[in-house]
Amino acid sequence: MSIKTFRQALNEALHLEMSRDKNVIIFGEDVCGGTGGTGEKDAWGGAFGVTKGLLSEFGPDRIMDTPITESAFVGAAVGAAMTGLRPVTEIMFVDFLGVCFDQIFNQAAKVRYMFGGKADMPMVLRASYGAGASSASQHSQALYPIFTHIPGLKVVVPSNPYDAKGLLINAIRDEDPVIFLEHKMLYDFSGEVPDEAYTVPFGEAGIIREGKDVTLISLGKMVNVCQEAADELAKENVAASILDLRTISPLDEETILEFTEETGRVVVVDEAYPRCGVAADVSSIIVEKAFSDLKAPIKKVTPPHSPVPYAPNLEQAFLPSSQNVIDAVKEVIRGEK
Amino acid sequence: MQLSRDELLSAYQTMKTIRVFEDRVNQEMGSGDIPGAVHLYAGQEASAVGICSLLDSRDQIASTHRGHGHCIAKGCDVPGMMAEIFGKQNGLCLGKGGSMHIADLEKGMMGANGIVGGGPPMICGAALSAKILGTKGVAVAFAGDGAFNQGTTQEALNLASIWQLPVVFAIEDNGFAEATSSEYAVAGDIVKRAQAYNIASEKVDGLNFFEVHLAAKTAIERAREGLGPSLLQIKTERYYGHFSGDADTYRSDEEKNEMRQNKDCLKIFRNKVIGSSLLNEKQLNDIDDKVLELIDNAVKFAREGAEPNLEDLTKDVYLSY
Amino acid sequence: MSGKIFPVSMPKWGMTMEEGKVTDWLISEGGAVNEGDEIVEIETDKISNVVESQTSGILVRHLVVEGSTYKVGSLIGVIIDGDVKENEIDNFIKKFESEEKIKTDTKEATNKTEKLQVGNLELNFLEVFCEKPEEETIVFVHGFGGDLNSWSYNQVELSTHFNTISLDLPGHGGSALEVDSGNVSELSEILISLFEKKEINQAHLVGHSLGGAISLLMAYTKPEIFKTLTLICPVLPGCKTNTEFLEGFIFADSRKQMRSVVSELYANPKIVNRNFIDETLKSRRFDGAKQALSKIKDANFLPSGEGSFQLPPLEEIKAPIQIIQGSEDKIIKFSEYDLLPPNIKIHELNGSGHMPQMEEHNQVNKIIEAFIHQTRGSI
Repeated sequence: MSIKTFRQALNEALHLEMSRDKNVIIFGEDVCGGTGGTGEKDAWGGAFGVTKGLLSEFGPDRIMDTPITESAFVGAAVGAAMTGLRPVTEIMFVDFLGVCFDQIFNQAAKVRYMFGGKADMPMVLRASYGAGASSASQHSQALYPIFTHIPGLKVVVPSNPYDAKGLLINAIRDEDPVIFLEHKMLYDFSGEVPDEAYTVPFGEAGIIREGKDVTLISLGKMVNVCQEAADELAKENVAASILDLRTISPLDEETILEFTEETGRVVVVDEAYPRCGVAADVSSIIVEKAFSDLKAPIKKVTPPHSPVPYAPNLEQAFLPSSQNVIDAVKEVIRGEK
Repeated sequence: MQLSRDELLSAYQTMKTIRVFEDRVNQEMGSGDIPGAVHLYAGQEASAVGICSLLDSRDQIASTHRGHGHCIAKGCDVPGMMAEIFGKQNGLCLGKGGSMHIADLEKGMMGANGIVGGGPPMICGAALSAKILGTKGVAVAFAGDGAFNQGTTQEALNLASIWQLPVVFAIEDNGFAEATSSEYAVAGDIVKRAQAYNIASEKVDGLNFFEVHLAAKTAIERAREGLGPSLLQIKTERYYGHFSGDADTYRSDEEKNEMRQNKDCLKIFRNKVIGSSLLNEKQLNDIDDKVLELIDNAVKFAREGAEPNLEDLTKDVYLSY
Repeated sequence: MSGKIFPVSMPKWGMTMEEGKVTDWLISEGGAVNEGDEIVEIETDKISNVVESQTSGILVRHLVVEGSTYKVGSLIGVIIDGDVKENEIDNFIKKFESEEKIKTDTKEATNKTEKLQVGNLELNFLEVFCEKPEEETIVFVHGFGGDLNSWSYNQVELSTHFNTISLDLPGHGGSALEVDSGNVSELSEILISLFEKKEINQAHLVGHSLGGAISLLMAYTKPEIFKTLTLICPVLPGCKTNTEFLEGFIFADSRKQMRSVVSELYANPKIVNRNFIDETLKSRRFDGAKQALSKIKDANFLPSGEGSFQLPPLEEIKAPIQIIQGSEDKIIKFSEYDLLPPNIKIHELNGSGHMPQMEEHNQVNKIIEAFIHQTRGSI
């Protein structure tokens, strides 16, 4: 066990799985960086350094740079997964799903079903997501609701290094297509991570904190925002529970409803756009299944219905802040019948 | 013409099976018992069979929305195919896929695909598997003249070339992408465009089984020996409209008659083999009868099949959830 | 002042415990208490447990709010015995809190677990040194599927008078997850090697459940090292262990499943909290964890639940032995206590399940310490 960054935890997961199973391969843009050039090979190790060092360990037959042709190589991941390999491919930014979405939602997601259950699809598609790096509208989105909407895909959004490693190992071992999203502002975030291989299951929310007054439901980087808010709220004697969804497809409805029953008040905090997002989805499930447990309406804390702005002050205003969460909690408490 | 008698008989039988299958499906559409639409392959048989007769269990194919022919040529169960098209539980995909998603991974048929250009990237993946797992397998991407323009196909050509993948791109140019002619829609020349990716390419008369077979042999051997991808532009004829409801008014009646009379790859095959005394009329006629019976039985199998159970609606979305 | 003032402070249960949540005052402010009465319920990482009064008197102050969390060592209540004025109580509180602050400011680092290579295995253990220790070390050996945290409520307390060492068995906790056969003989040999490596020459063994059988073997093999044996709900010849529990304890893969399994360990399952369930699940999700536990289970238990291992006759063990049992133990059924040698004292704790070292920790700690002193007296 030692302190590792989110990035290192992911790298370890890939390393362990590639060592354990020779059918695990990686390809994507600049996963090594430097192919065909005169300088350093493995110059980048991925746009965010997650795959660094794997080339020297496993060789160019196991990890390959691709041209900028997402539809070809994401489609190749689909075909490879159908024919005996376990590809871990990546698109640099989830915002690029537009150029390969057919391969994801019409091919990967549906092959098992359309072929009467006679095909496995053990592929993982990794991508970075999220705002806060001044990367502007086309490189800052949190598009996981789009994947969650599609039957046949599994969607994973870790919030910390321990979960990141266990969830990625689980994703690689899963026989269904997994979309694995990493908040770009979390890569340097540290935490305790065991050195050995372990899994974190899908469909089990992380219970970050228990408190009887309100349940904060969140995922990805927003979990940290909830922690800050909960710390502040504790000073005012408001005890907040925090659930970290970890996987939104499958979703841990059981734990969500358990905490709704225990606290009676829910605030959902999500970085995705508000319309048809995770906050909306989780809220509607709670209202449908646990209406009588609610002491107040559910409050959603999300960005506005707007692309991500470039100017830092606007971007900060765009993102849910711990103050937004605190305000929402207070409203939910005041709004009590 | 180095094929054995058995190989020739087999080739004819497979092509005839496709022809009769498609004609029969067209007929059954009239009964209203086939859900949705079908895209019929009749007229293009020599392409599918010319290529697939050279493939074995190591090899994969991906097909298009017009996939019945490729499916039969790759050895998929014909009654199972018919039942799938009828949407029955005893179909190849348990009634869950239908005509456009007909598949059998055990036979190396990675599926018909409802998305134009869906196949080529997948085939790059299958070829990558073959390369990495060392199976010496080959992966064939069937695509049309319409799909050739798709970004996915162009990207796949590039990827197959830079990675020297064991792929054969079989571009079945039947002159039409839906209702729009390839004359109009395809810029430049298909072979030259593929050659620009450093891919060995040639144009082939898709009405001539033997020409397809010869070109395919070269391409497949090239792939198996690790010498990279090839592309065949197979000029062929699509007998029916784009889909089963297509009145096909964008082709003149003369053109369509001419096609049926003088551009029939089955007739051309028969003439060649009889003319060269490789096979005789009786052998071929016997096959015709056999095939009719096979298709009759296939339709019977399909009609007698049960509808899928309602509980199976949400089955196989995931392996486990 | 004619009366006495006693602090009730946040206890330290387990070396890693830094704070606890006060969940329920069981005696109201101003209420009378007797020694041993349960005063307040505290929730920690592991389970909810109660603080017992060390004295009789009046619980004159509640200093903390239910639902809030306080640091270990902080003053949470005050008991007075006899005549004590209000301002004397206030002064006491102020003095305590300032002394506590000095203590925490100068606190040394808490003991951490360490690892040691024994043969080809790495073993995880926690050693706590006493400032003025009595001569021998107390050694804690946990049971099947557990880890050294089983002793959270015992090790710290007993470390006030003894050096103590608890360990993770092979296949458990932070120790290597590989085992050879996994049978108790192998495990006891590995542990003996550990203590020889650590040059522990005189020790008192406290073993729980399967750890009890392992401790027995150790005491038999090395009578010169192991001076007394306290067995808590041990697996002995004639015992039947609940194999459904063992299976579930290995393979439970969801919170619901694990809670239902873990609840079997305690007389009062409500005390099991979510964090304990999560930590147990986490430990099972390491590659090799389930296989190691399965191996150990198959090596030591028959499908019927009887032990498949041989233990030496208890009469042949030189060290004095005592057994602590729970009256509500759902895991082990021992029907042949009459057949035990008469010199073995058996303590049956009412209202306790298979983990009395947690559920009745004060009593168990007293029983262990008394036994050690008593047998020392007679040697």
